[in-house]
Amino acid sequence: MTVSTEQLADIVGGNHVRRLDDDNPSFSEAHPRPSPMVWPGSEDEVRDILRLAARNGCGVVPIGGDTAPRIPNEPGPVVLLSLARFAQIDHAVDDLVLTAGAGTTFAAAEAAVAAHGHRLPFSPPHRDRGTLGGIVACAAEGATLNAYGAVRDQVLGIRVVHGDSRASKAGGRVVKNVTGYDLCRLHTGARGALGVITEITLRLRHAEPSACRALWRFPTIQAAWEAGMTLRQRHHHLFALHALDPLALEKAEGEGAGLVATLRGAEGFVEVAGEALWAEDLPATSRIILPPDAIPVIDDPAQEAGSWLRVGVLPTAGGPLLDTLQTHLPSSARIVLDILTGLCDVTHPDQDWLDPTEETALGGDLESLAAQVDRPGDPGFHLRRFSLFPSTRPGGMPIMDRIVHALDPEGILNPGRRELAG
Amino acid sequence: MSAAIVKELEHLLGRERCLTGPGQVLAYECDALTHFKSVPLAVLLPESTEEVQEIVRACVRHEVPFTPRGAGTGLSGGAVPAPGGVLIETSRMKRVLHVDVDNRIAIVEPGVVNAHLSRDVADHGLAYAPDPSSQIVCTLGGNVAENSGGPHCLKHGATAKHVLAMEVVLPDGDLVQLGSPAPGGAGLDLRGVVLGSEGTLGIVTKITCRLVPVPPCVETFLATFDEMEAACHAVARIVARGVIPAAMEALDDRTISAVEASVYRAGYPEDAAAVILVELDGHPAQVAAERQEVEEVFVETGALSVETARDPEHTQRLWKGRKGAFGAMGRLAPDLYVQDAVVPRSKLPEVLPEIGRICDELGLRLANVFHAGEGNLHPNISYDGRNEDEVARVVDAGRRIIELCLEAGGSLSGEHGVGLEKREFMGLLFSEDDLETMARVRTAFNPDELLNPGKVLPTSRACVEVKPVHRLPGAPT
Repeated sequence: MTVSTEQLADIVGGNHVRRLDDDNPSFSEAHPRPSPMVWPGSEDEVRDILRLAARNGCGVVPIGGDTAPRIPNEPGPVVLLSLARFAQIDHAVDDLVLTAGAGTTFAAAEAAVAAHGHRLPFSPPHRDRGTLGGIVACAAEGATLNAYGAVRDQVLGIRVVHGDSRASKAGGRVVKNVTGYDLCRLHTGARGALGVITEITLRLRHAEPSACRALWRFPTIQAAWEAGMTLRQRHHHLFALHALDPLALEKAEGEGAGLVATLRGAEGFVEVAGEALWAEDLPATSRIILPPDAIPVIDDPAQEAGSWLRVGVLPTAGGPLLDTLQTHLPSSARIVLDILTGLCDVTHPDQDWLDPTEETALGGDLESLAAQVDRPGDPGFHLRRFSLFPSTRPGGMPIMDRIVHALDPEGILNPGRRELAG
Repeated sequence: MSAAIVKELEHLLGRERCLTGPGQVLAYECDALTHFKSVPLAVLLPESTEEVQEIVRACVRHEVPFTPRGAGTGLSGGAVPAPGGVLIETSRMKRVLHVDVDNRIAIVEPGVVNAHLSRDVADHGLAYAPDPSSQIVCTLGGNVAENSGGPHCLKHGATAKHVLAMEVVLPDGDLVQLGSPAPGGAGLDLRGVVLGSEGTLGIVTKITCRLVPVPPCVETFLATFDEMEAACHAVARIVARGVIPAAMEALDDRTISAVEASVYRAGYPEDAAAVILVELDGHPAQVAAERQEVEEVFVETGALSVETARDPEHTQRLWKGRKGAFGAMGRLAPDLYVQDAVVPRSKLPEVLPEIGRICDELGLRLANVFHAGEGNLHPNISYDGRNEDEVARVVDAGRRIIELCLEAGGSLSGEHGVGLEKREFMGLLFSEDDLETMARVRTAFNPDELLNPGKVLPTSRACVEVKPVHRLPGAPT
């Protein structure tokens, strides 16, 4: 049974409901069409929508910027629930804390806090359209992972409407807090399986007064990685360090693969640390100093990507990972490896670029790195990705199932987007 | 029933690791918050994960509650055994199993003492960042259970940021691996929920810790002020100028007096109304830039004097007073109540005087030492537990301080946890639905409530009777 736009209009008003049809390209092709799409304006309206969906056995797909790589939800009727109207911003300037509606875009929040010399504590993909709720729901890490920590380290408080339509909060608006269970971490990366996030409180960072990037060119990405591992041992205050293949650098000056070091901090620090980096005798073919926003693919690896695979490895496994990826991936795939953290993004302009046979072979080869390779962490993660790492299914899956059932007893939230036990 | 499980556990561990004598178990009746006491049926000292599993399975079979404990330095009653229950002490599981220098991780057992890990990896130029005040005694298993903080968590983050993965014995005895040393990860972050769950969701038997390079430059300053309000303004201005020091701690005049009269004497100026201890660390050029900002703030906010540590010994002396402050207060009265609450940093100047007024009004001796950079307050009330009237006033003050902090937008605990002490205050901060959500998550791990019952959530949700020695804040009345 599905939910009608009329029923939804009774909750949110006719202006905030529409039908997503085939002729609407603004939203992911993965969403079933036609589906009702609703823009609630309050937590109470979200609760009423979830109640209605549960009564009708209809799934609910929370949508932020609709930027995450999508695979179709389980077959069946769904309501697409946009958080776009949850866009309030409350910047506690003196406390270095931001509380914002889940539908607030990264760009809007970043602009708001930048006015006071602050930065958001993460660097997500799709930063123009991605929302804070979506970034937290997907634990969408980025180039700040080494310097600031993981997305879940930045979430101080959260408000959520669960699948059983109860609203609850966890955490608070203070920067240090151990009161009760840390459900902020549980919701971060849960991909909306436990509830619809409506509000988030984040720890902020000061915008560093000075920053730059240094680019060294190498014949291969493996050579860039090896040089990067040398820098990693000698320079402990790098903001980020990335190895990129030639495709990822095609818009930058020079040729070949590259190693990019990012420095951020006080002016004197960037100058001194930059000189020390520059003095390194790396076997590069060329080198250049660039502004901090140069090579934007580092800050937004999903740029111009039709599909996106993310793999996390221990830093020392970065080289073997690159070898394995290049053995199986077409040359049209773009690779960006965060050397300091081991987070590796592989993107491709096309949606279906990886041949299923090749994917299976890739999984087999990655298995040999199993001790050092984490489960795929890309927002498009789904059951099929287990084929890549069959031996590294996350621990505690029966508990995960029990938690999901406890908070979403009818199983209406984002059906099919969460891996299951068994 | 009791005799049967004791016999089984003695068979499993031997009598030397299954303590049941009245004199043996009495020492385990409480943690460092001595107001709540309950003598365990037995104290078990496993040396392996398998033994922890066997103990847990025996408890489940006999329906006997069980509580994990590290070094017993917790300050919220989280490791107090349930009546009729056993205590599982993990301090004998104290091996550093593996240090991966290249990837900067260490795999340790839960009984490893916090400070020992940094000591053991120091030769590699690495350290474990979280540094609770009890770090020379407390164990990493306990740190995980409490998500422990410490002075240097201001810049480097608390335990949750530094624990990447864990091996956990679940309340049914099953073993599970949570988290990963590599970034990313599929599924729900169960590691993140178990961290700080005060031993109510599982017993941690292996911990994968993140190590950090030892900073090449550390500079420590002690600034004195003629009033605490000015010190708090200095804290706020340092942060406003874009500096997040490694640590930023404040002590008031009564704490200074207690410290200077104790073995922890650090040379703090006894005529100051407040001092703040600021430590910067990192790249020398970054520290130099931050030092300039900090020194300007000290001038702007009217610091009476600024003492800069000249060498590591000097730094150690300045920290000795801060780290020994709680011990030093033992001189003031037979008993000490250490409150732990947190407020937004910007509210410090208005909340601190109000706490002083509450204690003055109730005729109580208050001393403040706190993590100023995070707004994490530790109002310490010295009292005599034999004086019932004074105990009642301490109870009143504790509740009023909590209410004050919550009104200021704060929270119940910054680092000590809820345990038994604050479970009845949870309703002041969280709604019924909030608590219901937490209870459901707990039930998903711990459906029979045999693992550390009665902690974290109000008693109406998880009934257990542990009697406080004194009726203190958070204790059921």
